[in-house]
Amino acid sequence: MNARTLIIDDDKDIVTMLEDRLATTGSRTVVARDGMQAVEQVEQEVPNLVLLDPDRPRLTSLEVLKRLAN
Amino acid sequence: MKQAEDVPVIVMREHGSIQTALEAMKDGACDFLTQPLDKDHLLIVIRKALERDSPRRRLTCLKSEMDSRCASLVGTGTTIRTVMEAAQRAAQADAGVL
Repeated sequence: MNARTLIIDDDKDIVTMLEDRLATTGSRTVVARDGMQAVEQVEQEVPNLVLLDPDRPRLTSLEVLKRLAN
Repeated sequence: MKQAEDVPVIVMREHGSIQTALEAMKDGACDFLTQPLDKDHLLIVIRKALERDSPRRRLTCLKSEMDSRCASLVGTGTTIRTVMEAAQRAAQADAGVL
């Protein structure tokens, strides 16, 4: 069963680099540009790993982290 | 959010201080990276986090397989329930079952 990784970042270069690295681990990748999109993605399907940049607009990613933990 | 509390989270920041790293870990992050990201270090951290989540993925996979197999068994009587419980216990063991 492939892992599913959620990347929370709006920097295209960073996202591309992360996707390349994750591809070598066999992980499927989904991208959320901000915290609200991230919450929507998690509600659709819980990922196996989250990579987040805490300084995203609309619900900071640290808030997302807190929501995931509760 | 169902199961989300078990998901490993890696935090990436442009400028990392010990304080922000501690904050992230306190909020539940399993690791902390500062940018620019070192690609090799990133891969190690990702693999480590995915390995940590591996038992949960296997369990989800097994549960799903068990549910689909059990779906073809019909019945709510005591006997069938006893058989199902025994099968579920046996499924968790490594030993062969006759």
